[in-house]
Amino acid sequence: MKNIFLIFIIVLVATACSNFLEEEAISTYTTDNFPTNVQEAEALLNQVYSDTREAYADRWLFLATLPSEMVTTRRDGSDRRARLDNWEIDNTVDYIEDYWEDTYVSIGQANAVINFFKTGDVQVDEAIAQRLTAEAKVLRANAYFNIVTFYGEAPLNLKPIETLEDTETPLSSIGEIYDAIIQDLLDAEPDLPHEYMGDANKGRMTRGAARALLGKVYLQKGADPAEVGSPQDFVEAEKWLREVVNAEDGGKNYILEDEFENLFGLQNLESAKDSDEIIMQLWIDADDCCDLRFHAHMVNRDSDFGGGQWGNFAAEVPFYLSYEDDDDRLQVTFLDSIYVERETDEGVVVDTFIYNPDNPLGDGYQHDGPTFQKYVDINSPDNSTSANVFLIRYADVLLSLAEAINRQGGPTAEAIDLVNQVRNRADLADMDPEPTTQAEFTEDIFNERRWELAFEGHGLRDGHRFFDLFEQRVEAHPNYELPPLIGDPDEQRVFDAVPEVPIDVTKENIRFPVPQREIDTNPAIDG
Amino acid sequence: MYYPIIECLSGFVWGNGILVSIKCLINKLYKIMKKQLTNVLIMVSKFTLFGIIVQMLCLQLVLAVEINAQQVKSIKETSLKIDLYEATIQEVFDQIESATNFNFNYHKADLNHNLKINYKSKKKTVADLLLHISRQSGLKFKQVNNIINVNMISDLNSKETIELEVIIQTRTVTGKVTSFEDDEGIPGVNVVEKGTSNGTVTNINGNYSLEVSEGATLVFSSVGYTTEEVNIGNRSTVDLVMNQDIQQLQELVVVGYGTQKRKDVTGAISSVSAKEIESVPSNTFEQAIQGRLPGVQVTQSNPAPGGGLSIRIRGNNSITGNSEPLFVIDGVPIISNNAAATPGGAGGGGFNGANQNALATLNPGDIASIEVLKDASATAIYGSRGANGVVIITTKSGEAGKPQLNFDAYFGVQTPNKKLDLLGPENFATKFREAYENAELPVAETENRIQELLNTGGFDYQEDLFASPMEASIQNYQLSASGASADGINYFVSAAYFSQDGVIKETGFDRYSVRLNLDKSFNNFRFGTNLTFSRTDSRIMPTDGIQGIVSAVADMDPVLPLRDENGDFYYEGLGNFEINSNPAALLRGTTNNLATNRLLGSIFAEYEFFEGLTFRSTLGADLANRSRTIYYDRTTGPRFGGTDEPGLAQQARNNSNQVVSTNTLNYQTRIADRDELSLTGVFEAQLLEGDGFSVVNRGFPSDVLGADVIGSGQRDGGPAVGYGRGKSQLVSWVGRAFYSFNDRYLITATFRADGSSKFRGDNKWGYFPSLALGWRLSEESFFAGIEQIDELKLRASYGITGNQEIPALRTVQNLQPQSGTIFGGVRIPTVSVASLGNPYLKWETTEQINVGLSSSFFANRLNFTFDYYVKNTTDLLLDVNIPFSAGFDDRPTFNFGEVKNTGFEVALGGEIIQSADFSWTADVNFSRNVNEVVNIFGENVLGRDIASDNNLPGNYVAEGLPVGVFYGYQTDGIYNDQAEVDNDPVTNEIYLQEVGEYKIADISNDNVINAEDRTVIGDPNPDFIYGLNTSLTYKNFNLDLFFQGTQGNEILWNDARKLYGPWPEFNGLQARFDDRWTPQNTDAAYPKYNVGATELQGFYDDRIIFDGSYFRLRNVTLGYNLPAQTVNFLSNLRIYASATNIFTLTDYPGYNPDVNSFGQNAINSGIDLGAYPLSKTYTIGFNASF
Repeated sequence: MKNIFLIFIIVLVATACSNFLEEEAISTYTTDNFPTNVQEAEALLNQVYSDTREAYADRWLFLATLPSEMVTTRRDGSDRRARLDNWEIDNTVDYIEDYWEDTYVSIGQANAVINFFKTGDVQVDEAIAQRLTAEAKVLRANAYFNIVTFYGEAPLNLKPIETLEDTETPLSSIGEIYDAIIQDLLDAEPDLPHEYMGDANKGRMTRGAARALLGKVYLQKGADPAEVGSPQDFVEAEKWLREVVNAEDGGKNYILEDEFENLFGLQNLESAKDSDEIIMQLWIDADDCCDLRFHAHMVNRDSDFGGGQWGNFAAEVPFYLSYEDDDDRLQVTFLDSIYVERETDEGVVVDTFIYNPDNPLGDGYQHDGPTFQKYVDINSPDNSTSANVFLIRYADVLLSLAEAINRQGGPTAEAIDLVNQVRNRADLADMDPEPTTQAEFTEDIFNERRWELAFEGHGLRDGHRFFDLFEQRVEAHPNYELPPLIGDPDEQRVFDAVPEVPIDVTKENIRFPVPQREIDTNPAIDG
Repeated sequence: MYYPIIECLSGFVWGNGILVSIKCLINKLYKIMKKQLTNVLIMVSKFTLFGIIVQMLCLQLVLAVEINAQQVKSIKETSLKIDLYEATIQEVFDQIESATNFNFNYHKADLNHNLKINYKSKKKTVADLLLHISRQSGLKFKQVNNIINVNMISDLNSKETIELEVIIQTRTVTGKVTSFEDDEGIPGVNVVEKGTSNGTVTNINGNYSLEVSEGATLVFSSVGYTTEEVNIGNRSTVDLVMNQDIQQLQELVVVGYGTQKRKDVTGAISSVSAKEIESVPSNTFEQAIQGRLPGVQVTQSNPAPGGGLSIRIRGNNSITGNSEPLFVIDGVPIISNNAAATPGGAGGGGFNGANQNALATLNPGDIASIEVLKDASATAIYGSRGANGVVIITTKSGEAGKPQLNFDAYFGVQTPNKKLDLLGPENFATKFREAYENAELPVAETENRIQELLNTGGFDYQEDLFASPMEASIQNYQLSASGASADGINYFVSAAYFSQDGVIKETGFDRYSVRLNLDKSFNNFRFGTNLTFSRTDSRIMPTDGIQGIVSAVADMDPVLPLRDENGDFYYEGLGNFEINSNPAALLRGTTNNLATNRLLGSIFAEYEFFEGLTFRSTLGADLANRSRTIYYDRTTGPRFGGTDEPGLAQQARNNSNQVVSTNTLNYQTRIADRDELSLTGVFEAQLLEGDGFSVVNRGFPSDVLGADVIGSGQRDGGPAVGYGRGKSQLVSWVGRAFYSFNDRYLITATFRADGSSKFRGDNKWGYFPSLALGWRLSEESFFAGIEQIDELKLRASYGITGNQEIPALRTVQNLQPQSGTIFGGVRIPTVSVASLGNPYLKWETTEQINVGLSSSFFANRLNFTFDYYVKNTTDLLLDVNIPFSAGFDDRPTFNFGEVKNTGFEVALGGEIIQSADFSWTADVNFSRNVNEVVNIFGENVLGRDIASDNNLPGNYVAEGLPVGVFYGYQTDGIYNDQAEVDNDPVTNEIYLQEVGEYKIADISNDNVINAEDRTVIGDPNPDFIYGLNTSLTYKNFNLDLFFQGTQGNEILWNDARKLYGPWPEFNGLQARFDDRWTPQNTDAAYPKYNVGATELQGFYDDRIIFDGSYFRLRNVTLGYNLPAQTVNFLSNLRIYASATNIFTLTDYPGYNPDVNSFGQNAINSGIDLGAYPLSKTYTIGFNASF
């Protein structure tokens, strides 16, 4: 009862006070009481990493790879994955909306971080503020790089949204978005360390990541099918990629791993994360907070790897067959043989299903193409994987640098050597015949990128830059004639994702539409 | 002119036959034409058209009270139809008394009890019969007026002449009844000789003539006048001046921060009295007011004992904001938030059942009156919290006089209102087989299993839910004392216990409450308290949800016995379909208790500086502690406690404290003895704070101790803990001025300024003015002389009210701690920018215009009110969908959009018959509200997404439609043969298109069925709601009937998806089974059974939308008042029997059309998610006063 009287008194006294009507933030963090120190500010930044991982967690891979000529899905015609595969893409494919939402959430969070330090509300060491801002800017640039690749014109929000009017952001042009990405990276590059100290910083954005990304962005812009670039972009691309390769200003020395398997071997999932080949990656752990749901999507339905086996991806057979036989990358990139333990009347029998392109179902391998091994986590407890997402690795930088050089006038000995470095690592000989024209070298680089970087999310983006090759191969791939099926028809799980009409890839439809919900809720965008 | 006609009509009513009536009418009209034409013309010219209407109404009333005039007759002239066989003398007397107006006066000792009388008569007189008796019995008879005195013949042997003496002493009394107001004669006054049915009616000039017994007393009564009794004494002329009955107009009505005389009220206010509240046995007062007040819609969101209700006054204003009214209990303002009153939640995966009622802690027996303020003139004084209407509850207080002790008790039993006609085991098996056959799946494999299960006889899972009537008992005991002490302390104290066990087993509600209301005056001071403490205990079962216990019945195959061979409950049905939720297991394995302790009340002090100027300061508090304990044991299945971590426990506690300080200065005066002025000024400050936490754990070694050992659980990752604390403040300045000019022209102006902590900067303060005008037409000279009208008042008001019921901290960006991220294998905390703060947030504003008429006729025997209103709510506090590109996951709150409510309300009530022994009153109310979303974000895109919070895309909000209409596909019959399928130009992209399946209507007319074909398939808002309350009293008996209903609303019955669906894995309704499509029954109402037929892509279709109109006999009560002084120490004793909800007319196939599973949520209304069934209640009880 004492308390009641106390409250009475408080009310009487408090009403006399002018601040009685101030709203107090209790048991909720708000921008009024957070952040107050560097750790709290870092917690906000760390969420940008978390949001970025969430955006990548599964939909990204579908959008980035299924439309390419490398990958198909076992799903049938009306399925959203099949529609991506078959280029029957409109904004009712929900991945398009989901990925948009998740990516803009990471951008919103990055904007908040950048703004906090800009306004100077938080008293932190200037250098730390700069570094945190720079990390956020690289992540924001990466997010917009995906946005501009997938969607083209899109809202460009670089400041926190504060009012309803702020939310009505019109579409910016592709060029404007590229400019913003480049500006972010140019701002961030000098403020980032080449390397971080301690395990708890592994996976943060580094100066090398900013440089490599900058190089790749310039390259992409210069070759964008929307023709927003200029020859100068390739000059800039070459400059920034060289900074990575040359480890300028005391930069980190990135290398190619001795063996491709070191990066993607089933046993090397954890050790690959510390490889000096990796320049930019998202740190993943199949922990509750930080998993990636690729594992189950990958794994062949008949495999007995841990977790779910949904088998949503398979290689397009022509692409699989395009590998040279002794390419190291063939065995590491694909899961084309599967060991299965089965209970039979005679006890447990171990079967090995081996993919045979001439008779896909003949020995029980229940896919019409081999599945992928990248991201497969043999220790997965469920559907998730602990494999990191390698956003940029040194092999990509080498191939990109070769491309930047080639786009400025054709093959040079240096550029050819860059490609050969990548080939040699896979136990392949130098290119033969050696390319002599720009067009030849362009096709060689395109092929090499396909073989080297298959399924790492470059399929569609490379398709933009190598549009003619891409168009030709995507439009051709449904014509590939499957070998006659053998075996029990009821057991057939061949993919049905054969397009009903011929695929027509154009420079316009190569980008996804803006999601309907964005159009509906954003008055600044005309439906 | 009218009254003689009425005589004729009344003759007809009483059975004289239609010919007589017509003849009578012609005669009377002729006489009127001839003799009284002048008078008629004068009257017609005097009365306006309205006057005539009033007269017509009056006609109805007088017709009913007309008394069959009868004078004293001689026993020789009174014939009798009687058939006596072996009757005793006393029996003969009794029969004569009951057949005539005569009463016998005799000594029992004089009667020869052995004498048997045989007598048969058809047309003989009473005198003949008495002579017959006299001959045999030695009795003689003397009639004096209506009394027949019986004496022994003094000398039996003297052969004294048997005689009958008849003395009829009568006198003709004449006179004129005039009105005090204008000295004119009053026609139609009933003049009755007291204690008899002898009487007449005054003529058009007010004159009457009546033959009465000597010394009789005349009773003069007329609607609109005070009834008078006059003893004629020796007079033969009795004139009388009658006074208008205006008592009712002086009655006080509780308004915001004070009271007003009813005649002065300018706003739209409806009241309910204690008597009406107490007449329906219920755990909460809201149930008792359901259907009694025009414009007030009460819906049951959870008919479980203690379950939540939702009240809408004049429709939904808000879309995502709160639409519940403000409750003011003895001056303490309270927002009833059922969710907050039901702590706990879905945390940890447990399912908690529907919300409990935040106001169920209040004992209805303590309530003296409830006033509902509806228009802006009445509610604007509550400013920022008045937009949804205000319910003012006043509790009982002591009155001067003898101390009164009351004891009330009732006891009753309950049965479910309805049971569904579900399939039995045999029919279920048929359905199962048919579905498999239609899907061309092999059923043979399952046949053995089917036979095996059929041999067990199955189990009636529905029947298993319900308690027997005696188990589902309801009881209430209340002891109260009230009065005033010699030194001026008024007191009302009460203690009450209410207990209700639900019709579903293991559910119930108990309330213990005490109240102390005191006030004391001395000198110019007055102070007092209104305090109540209550403890409520609810036992809850999970309902309202697809895994809830009611819906779970639809999940269960009736072929499955209660337990399997191992004694376990079934979680797999025929065909290996998974069963999410087993009702029998939940019933036996669930503990879900909620206990609330609540102190609610106020203390006040008042000082009168001088006559008319008073200052009053009140401190009010509402302090509540709630504690919730939930345990699902390991048998309750995978959705509850039957997981790898067996047992699911939750402990939740919350407490909320509200303190309010109200300081009122009031001044009242009369000006020039003609006008009245009243000024009120208020300063008020409120503080609301509360906190709550919840712990969830799993993985218990044993179920024995349930959630009491929540700490011993071994949940992976440890127990889940949630905690929150919040606070908000409100400061207000209020002013009201009332002026009454010449008692005719009334003006009320109010103004309120509210400062709220929920808003920032300039938006902190909101201003809410109102103005109302009243014109008491009945006081005007041109109405003078129309005595039938007590009151005729036109009202018009305009005002602005607000709504600020949003969660705290909406004006600032909220940051949300997240699950962290990983760098190099190390997990690091993260915080996200969760939502867009809106610093410009302000009040939701409702502008309301109201015009109304209040009227009262015939001494308050007829009351009629009418109100028409238009409410426009703008700047809605709307949780809006912003573009994803803005980068937030959560929807922010903005002031956006506009909703309009238009409607009218009619209340008509009156005492239809009023006589000494018999009376009949009836009240009807009727209201209609039309709700329309005028504007939301330009496009009709909000709705689906707003509603999808509850995974029910069925509700839709779009411009031009009412809030929350149902949206989905329309079915269009069934494909009866293959030709019909083949010839259908429409391609269905979302649903099976084959024989025996539904056709879907091609709304978009493009020959393709896809998302474009969704349309409005129902509206949960009723066209109108109504109530009818009638009371009949005969001598000491009374019979109350209360009907109530809604018309034109639709209900989305979620369980219908299963019960009307094609699937073999769920149970179904018999009616659907009987009329299913088969090749033999092609003209079926329902499609064929099928396996795996996909739902319409998760969207809703009209198969599960049903007409929710109903007409319900809410309550019938028969009571008997023991005649006064039957028992010495009792001043009053009433015994009664009552039945509630015994009959409902509705087409709704679910348990109860009065359903609203989402309760206080405005968008998702009209949804039945497997709600707790309604109960029929039969009670007996008594009220005793000492």
